[in-house]
Amino acid sequence: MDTLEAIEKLAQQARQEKAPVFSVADRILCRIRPEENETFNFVILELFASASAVVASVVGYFSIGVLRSLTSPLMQFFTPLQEVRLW
Amino acid sequence: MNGDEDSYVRLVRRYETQITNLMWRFSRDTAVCEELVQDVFVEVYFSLKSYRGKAPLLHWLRKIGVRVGYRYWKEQAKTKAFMPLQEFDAIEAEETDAFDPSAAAEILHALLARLPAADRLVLTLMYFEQCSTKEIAVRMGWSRAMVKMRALRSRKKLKTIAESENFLEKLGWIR
Repeated sequence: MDTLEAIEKLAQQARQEKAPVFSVADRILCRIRPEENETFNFVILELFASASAVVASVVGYFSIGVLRSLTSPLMQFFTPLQEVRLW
Repeated sequence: MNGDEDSYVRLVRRYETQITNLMWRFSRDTAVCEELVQDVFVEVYFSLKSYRGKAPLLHWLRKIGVRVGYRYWKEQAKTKAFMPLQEFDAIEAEETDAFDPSAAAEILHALLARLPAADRLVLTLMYFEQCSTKEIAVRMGWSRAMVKMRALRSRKKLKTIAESENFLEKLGWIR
């Protein structure tokens, strides 16, 4: 008999095997609950990150406007320093 | 499911036998198999939103099961530990039908374990689950041509391995 035919016959017999029986529902719930909380924490973090991004965009938008209104941004950036009283 | 745990428990209880049968093909260690079944249902829980209901739920569960099992094999492949066929020298039987199905499954599992994970998966689904190349392609998201080619090549590899280990002599009762 060919080896592959023998393996086919072995498989035919192997298919009749009965697998063990488990009851996994409770353990699955125990695993899902903490992961769900973790997902919830991620949602809060994502909301905070989104809000920060929105605020940063607004600040950036106005900053660019102000920067463009300056004739020499680099020089005017340092200008106020000349007026600062050291004592 | 909207966080309804009772509904999910009912779903798990309804399908756990079928999923256990499937995961038993990936590990014959009871503890590992149980862990894999849990992994499947945890993954199912967090993927429920992506289930579109086009195919029966069991098909979708099996698809996830196969992927979880395949991932497990790929992790295990790093250790390269498998049972030598010499372990099965003592197994004898007069006829194929008289042979214990568990022992047959054990031998076949040990034999297939010598193949690379992808080859092993294709032949495991063919031999144990009687899946067609089309079904395997759908479950794994592979092309059918690729599955056919892999099935052909892995059968050749399996034949070479079995012959190098005198498989037919050891299990001469298979006629």
